[in-house]
Amino acid sequence: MRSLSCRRMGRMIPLYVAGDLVGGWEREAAEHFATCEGCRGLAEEFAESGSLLAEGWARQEFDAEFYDRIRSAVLAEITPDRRLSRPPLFGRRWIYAASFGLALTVCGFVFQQVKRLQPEAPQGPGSISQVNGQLTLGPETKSPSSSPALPRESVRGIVGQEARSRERGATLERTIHSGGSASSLSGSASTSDITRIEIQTADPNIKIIWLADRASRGSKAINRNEYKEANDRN
Amino acid sequence: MVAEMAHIFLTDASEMPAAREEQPADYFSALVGSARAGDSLAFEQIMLATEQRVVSIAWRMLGNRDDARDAAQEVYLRVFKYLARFRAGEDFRGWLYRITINVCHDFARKRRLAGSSRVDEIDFAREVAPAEIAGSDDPEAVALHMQQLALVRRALQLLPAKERAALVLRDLEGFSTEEVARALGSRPVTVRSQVSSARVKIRTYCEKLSRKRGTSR
Repeated sequence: MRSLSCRRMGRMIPLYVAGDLVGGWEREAAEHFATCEGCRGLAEEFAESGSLLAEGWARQEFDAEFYDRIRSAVLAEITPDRRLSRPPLFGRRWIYAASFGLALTVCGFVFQQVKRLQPEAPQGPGSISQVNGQLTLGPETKSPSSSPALPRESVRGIVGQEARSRERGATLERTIHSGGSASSLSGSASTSDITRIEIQTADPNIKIIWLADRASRGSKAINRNEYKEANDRN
Repeated sequence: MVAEMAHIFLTDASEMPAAREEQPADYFSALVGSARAGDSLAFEQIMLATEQRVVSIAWRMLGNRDDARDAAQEVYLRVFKYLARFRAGEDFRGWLYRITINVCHDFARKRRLAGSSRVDEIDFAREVAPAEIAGSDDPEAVALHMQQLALVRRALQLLPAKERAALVLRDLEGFSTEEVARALGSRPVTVRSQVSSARVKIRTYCEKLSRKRGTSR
């Protein structure tokens, strides 16, 4: 019990000799020193080395010239700094800030102008619209459940076949019928004298517009019948 | 006896600080404000009020008069450079002493890198025996005491940098543990631990060396 207490005291002595122990610890240490000669001797040694340290490193008196040299060296360094470089530095900072602000404003203005001049974006690649008897297909982002009558694959097929049909001189109605989903097209086309079909290709700048009236469809049908009869005769 | 020794030790340490440097905190806040605004006279006033303490810390940390002067110059240049970063209401002296300690660490590091031994460069040439010992009739006692002082000076320089800083500020400059913690940017518990460890090392070093010399004779 006693040796443990002495060991603990050994750790506390360096603090005790300089008054760094507080409260109960200081009282406990004092009580221990009253009974333990070994710890008391150790504390005396610590106190002695402490006072030697203070004596050995006692504050040196440096002369006024010593301090003058420090002050003059420092002031010589900082005074031109303050007089010359500080105001232009602040001036330059303001110039940088103002230039940056101006550049930002100009960029914003130019961006706004460019945005205004751009044509309105098309509904999206591969869309078909039908106004006043026109077929409409929404943008690609639409879910399949909410997509219009023509699925996207059939539209691509329509666009491709339509391009081929130009060469062959075939009608669009036939092309759409071959797509197998032209019920909405034929239904709506019959409600108007002129049928207008717009097909938006993948290129937003190219839109295929097909105008056909009922009379021409009728004449084409007649022509087809005549052609069929001639073939039968042959 | 222990209490008496402790009292002597504490008195020696507490009598160290120069009286003229203990200015109130608002004295510095007004000067710092003026110095920031470009008043070089205000900055000079700050130097006048604190230079003794700064030089003293630097001398004790570096053990060399010339290094202490160079370090003090560097301290004030850094203070000037970072004056704008000093927050109003903060303890200016704590901030200043922290810069001082950092500058001293930098100087010691440079000196170590340059390969010069810090112990050899200590300004021992200025050693003067205290008046009561110098006037003594016993030259052997004077020589012994001088030897002890030399030992204890070397011992301080051999301590690790952080422990040396804590011991210099606490035992030699007479700061309270809380002030030392503020100056070193650490906690009072850490400072107590560092100071305690440093005291043990100094005592052990002095004891070992005096034993070695005693046996070699």
